[in-house]
Amino acid sequence: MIRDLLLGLRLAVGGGRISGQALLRLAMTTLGVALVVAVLLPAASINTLVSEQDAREAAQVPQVEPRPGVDPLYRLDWFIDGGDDYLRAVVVAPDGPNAPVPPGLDRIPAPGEVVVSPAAADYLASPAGEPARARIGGTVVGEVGKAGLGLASDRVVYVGDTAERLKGEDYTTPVYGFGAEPDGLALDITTAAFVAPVAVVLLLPLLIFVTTASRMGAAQRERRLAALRLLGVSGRQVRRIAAAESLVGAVAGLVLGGALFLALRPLIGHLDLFGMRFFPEDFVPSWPLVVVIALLVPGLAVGAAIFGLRRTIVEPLGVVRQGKPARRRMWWRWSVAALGGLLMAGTLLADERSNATPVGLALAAGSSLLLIGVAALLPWAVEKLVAGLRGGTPAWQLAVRRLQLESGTASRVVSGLVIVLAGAILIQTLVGAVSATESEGSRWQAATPVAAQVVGDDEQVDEAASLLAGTDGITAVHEVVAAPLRAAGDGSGWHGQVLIGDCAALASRAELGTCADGDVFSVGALRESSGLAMPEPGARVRFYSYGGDGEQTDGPQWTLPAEVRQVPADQAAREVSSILLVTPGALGGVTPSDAERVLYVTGTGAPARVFEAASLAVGPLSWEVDVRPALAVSDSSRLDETTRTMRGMLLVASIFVLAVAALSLLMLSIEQIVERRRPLAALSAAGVPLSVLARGSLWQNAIPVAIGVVLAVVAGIGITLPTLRYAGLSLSLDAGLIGIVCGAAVLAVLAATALTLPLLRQVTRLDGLRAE
Amino acid sequence: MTEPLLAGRDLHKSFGPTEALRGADVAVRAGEVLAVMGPSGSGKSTLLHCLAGIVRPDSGSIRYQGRDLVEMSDGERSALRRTDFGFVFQFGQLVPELTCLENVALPLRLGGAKRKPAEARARQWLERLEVGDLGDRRPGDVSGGQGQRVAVARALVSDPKVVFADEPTGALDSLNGEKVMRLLTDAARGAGAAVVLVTHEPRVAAHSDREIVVRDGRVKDLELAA
Amino acid sequence: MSVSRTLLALLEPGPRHGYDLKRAYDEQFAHGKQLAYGQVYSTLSRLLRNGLVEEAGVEHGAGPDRKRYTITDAGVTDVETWLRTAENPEPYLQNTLYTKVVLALLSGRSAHDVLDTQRSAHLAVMRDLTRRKADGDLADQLICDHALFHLEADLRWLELTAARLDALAEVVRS
Ligand SMILES: Nc1ncnc2c1ncn2[C@@H]1O[C@H](COP(=O)(O)OP(=O)(O)O)[C@@H](O)[C@H]1O
Ligand SMILES: [Mg+2]
Repeated sequence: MIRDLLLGLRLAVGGGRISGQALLRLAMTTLGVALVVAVLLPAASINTLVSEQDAREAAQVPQVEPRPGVDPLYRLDWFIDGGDDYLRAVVVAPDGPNAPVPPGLDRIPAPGEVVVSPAAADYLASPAGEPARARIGGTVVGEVGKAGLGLASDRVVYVGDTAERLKGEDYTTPVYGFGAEPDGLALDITTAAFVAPVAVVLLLPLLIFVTTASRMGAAQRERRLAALRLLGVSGRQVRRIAAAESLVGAVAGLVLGGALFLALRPLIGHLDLFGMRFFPEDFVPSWPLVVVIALLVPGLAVGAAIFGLRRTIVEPLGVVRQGKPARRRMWWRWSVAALGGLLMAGTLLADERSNATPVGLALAAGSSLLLIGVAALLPWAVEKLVAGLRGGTPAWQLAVRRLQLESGTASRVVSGLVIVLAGAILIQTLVGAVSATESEGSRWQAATPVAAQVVGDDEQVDEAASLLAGTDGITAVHEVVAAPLRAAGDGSGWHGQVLIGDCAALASRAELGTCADGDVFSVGALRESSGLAMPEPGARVRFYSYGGDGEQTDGPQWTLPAEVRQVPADQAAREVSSILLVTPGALGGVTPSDAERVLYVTGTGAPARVFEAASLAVGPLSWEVDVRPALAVSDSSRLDETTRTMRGMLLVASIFVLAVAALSLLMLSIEQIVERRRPLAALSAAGVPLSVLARGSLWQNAIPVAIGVVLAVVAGIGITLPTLRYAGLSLSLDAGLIGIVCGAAVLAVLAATALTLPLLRQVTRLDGLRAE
Repeated sequence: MTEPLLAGRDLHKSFGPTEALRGADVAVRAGEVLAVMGPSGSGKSTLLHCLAGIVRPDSGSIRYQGRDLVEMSDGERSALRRTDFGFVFQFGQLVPELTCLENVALPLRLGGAKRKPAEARARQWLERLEVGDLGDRRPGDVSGGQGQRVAVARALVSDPKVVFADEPTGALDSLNGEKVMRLLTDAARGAGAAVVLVTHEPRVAAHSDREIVVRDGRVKDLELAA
Repeated sequence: MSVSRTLLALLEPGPRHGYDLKRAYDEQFAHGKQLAYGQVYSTLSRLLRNGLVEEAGVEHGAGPDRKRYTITDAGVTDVETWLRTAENPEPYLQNTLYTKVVLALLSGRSAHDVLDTQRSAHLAVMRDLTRRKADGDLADQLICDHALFHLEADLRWLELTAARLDALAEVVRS
């Protein structure tokens, strides 16, 4: 047994001369297995990754129960909105020498000292971080360590301050320690459900690649094995020898894949996924999984080699192929696709956006099944389509006939591509549709739009107003008061908000037309889905306030004037839809119980610049006032970023799979050319131009890929439509993405064909004619 | 004596250190069957490849219909082989994925013929070579002798002036070889095509009108000497 | 080839006249060389003498000699023995040709020329036979093939000799 394996090993690498094809097979098997391993190892690390992050985050949870002998650390969370990006700042002040030090810090920063995470440091150093830097102030004295962060991309800033200043703040909490039990849910179902299909999608083409590679040069190898049989080697031994031969490439691939993983791991720290970056050192594959990978992947390559021999009996005098290849079993392919289709069709019965869980599950399961079904049906589809093809140029005829003879391998190669492409279309369309909805809403802006809103306590707002007043680039600071308001009665009616301000202030929020003190405007709702109508003119309404515990406390009543001017929602800023705009004169002396003073800052130039100027101006007030960018400036760009990342990932995955598919096609072409050496040489001798033969190869690669891409686009849109219908979204195909992938498919086919040209040229030289 | 159809003079060709041809002279007359004999390794195939314009000799001239093949470009020689020459090799020259009929029709299609008429012509040729019933089979499904007959049909279908046959019966038994030779020479004579027949078997050479002998890359062509 | 055994074997299926015998022989085996009447009768009388055939009576009528002959048991045994006995393989030494080649070498002439001329001659005959084969029936083809294979064997010897001329020259001249 061992002797057979050793003989196989010697046959694979030894004997001095390795034929070009054997070498290619070895290289391709190695590469394929290496890629599989390099994809699997990070996937096997996700558990560690998530649990490490979980443990760190749990260790950062503040404990507010007083402990004996421990001085409290006053702590205030301060969310600094920088427009496109944001920072999480934590203002801390110890109330004694024994205060706990937050994880990741060496010591508690003294007042005026700042400790920043690396990501925050990068941000603050960039031009976009300037306003935030101005507001934080202080001097940077240290770095927040890994223990203080969840992800490498977390932007965390610890700001030292005095206990006196913090104590009085509403949202300050005293902290006596850090740490809580980790959730223990290291890898939750959702993550697994997300990772599993991605891994499958990436792995499937790779596995096809490995199996294709390990079956390369089968004819040549079978002849060699037959020669061994003549020397008295048994059929069982021959299988072992074949297994050992493919083991060489598999083991080499395993080693290379591990090396690739280790080499590329530091780069993971630079990878930006939806604005998240991970700690590379957290990518530690769990040992049991490593063992499984180390056994399974080479096992697969070896299994494929043996599986390739299943229909051949290696006899001493040659190789007998047992009959025609078995009929493709169709029932399970149709079953999978039909089940998926049924699940998808079933959701058509559900109303839009109802019954979320079962319908969502049905959609997810249905689309996955349909994808797999489509991939499984592809070989059949290619076979049927190709069988119907007739005529055409000689090159076309060569390609079609070759595919008619054996299209299975080519289709298998393309199946992976279909899954990825169709999946990409599904995901991209959903993401695109969702982001399109999110950015829906009024696009109205005043001639000089509100660029920043400043909110805070009375004295700070006064101070902010005076700081802003003299600032360059700021033309006006309007003050409004926002207060909650509801229909009078038992509280089951309309709940909303009023904005109280002079005509100039209100005009920055909506198209008012003429306005005089005493007017009241009602901005229509953009979506009439809330169900509760705005109060009528003359209706009785009541102000109310929220207590610290979230309870509502009734405030004074107020009667709406007999004339309330309607403003259509698309004539007002998005933030004020379904809101009453009230001039102070209309209140008739009623004072809202829970009023928040808001400064609307407008200026010349781009809103982002005005926002920066405002942030810089109120910098001295640091966390005592909140500066928010106007909605339009921020949200859409954050969503764009998500879509962009998604698009990038889909693109990378598609191109990767495409490249693997192209490599598989290349191997297939090489194999076929070597097999057809003699006829090709004879054709060339008879004056058939190389271009005809090359075009034959081209068509042969292009036909399955073309069928695959068309099928993928159709399937992708097909599985997307029910989901979109259910979610009530409209189809927005990313023609760019599809175009790029289709273009890449064309390139891949061209490249695979071009790479076979040297071989074709060599074969059609004289050599192929010489009798062996 | 009339001008020969195809004449090679003083042909030299080396493969690295091996001198395959060292001054070969040959003349092929229109319509004749010329046997090229000689022991194996003597340079018969190389001579055939040179005469057919598959290989460019290192020196010498090959005149065909007033033109010198040595001076023609690769593309021109390819085109010439396609239109004026036909080829039969020892085995394995049929494209495995095409049917026998399509194999035979291929040269016509490459010459620009439409599929229907090309396949009709091909069918006639298959019938002439007594393999008319094999049209729809793939080469892998027919016997060696039948395959060679299909190959002969393919070589003759485009009405070549010269058919080059390199050991066309080398992989066949005597009876099948005999049959293929009979059909090949009859068909070629019927079509007025000359045949350059490389063989080391005297019984195969006996189907020729005339023979030359290649020895150590040199040719004794009694005609030319005369 | 033994004419007497052939005639004897032709008698085995049933009695025949001498004239019949000659016609049967010519049809199957003559190939242009017909049997003379004289030879038929002299052979038959030798067979009679040896007791392998006997006369089966005379038909009276037109022809000059209407004797019918029939085979005896001894004759049947003789045919059987003959058919079962292997022919002596004749070690055909290419006597003349070999002599010519050696003499050419010894006298410094081109032995290749001798062989080439011979090849030409052989091939000319073979070509002729091949052509006759194409026109003839199955029997012709078999006969021609026989000759062709023999001639081919000669030519093989020629090729081999040609390939070894240098070695031969050394042996002869030393
Ligand atoms: N493509 C080639 N590369 C190297 N050597 C070659 C090549 N073709 C032929 N030869 C050599 O040239 C000589 C003549 O070969 P060839 O013409 O095939 O002889 P024949 O057909 O008479 O057997 C041989 O020694 C052969 O090894
Ligand atoms: Mg040869």
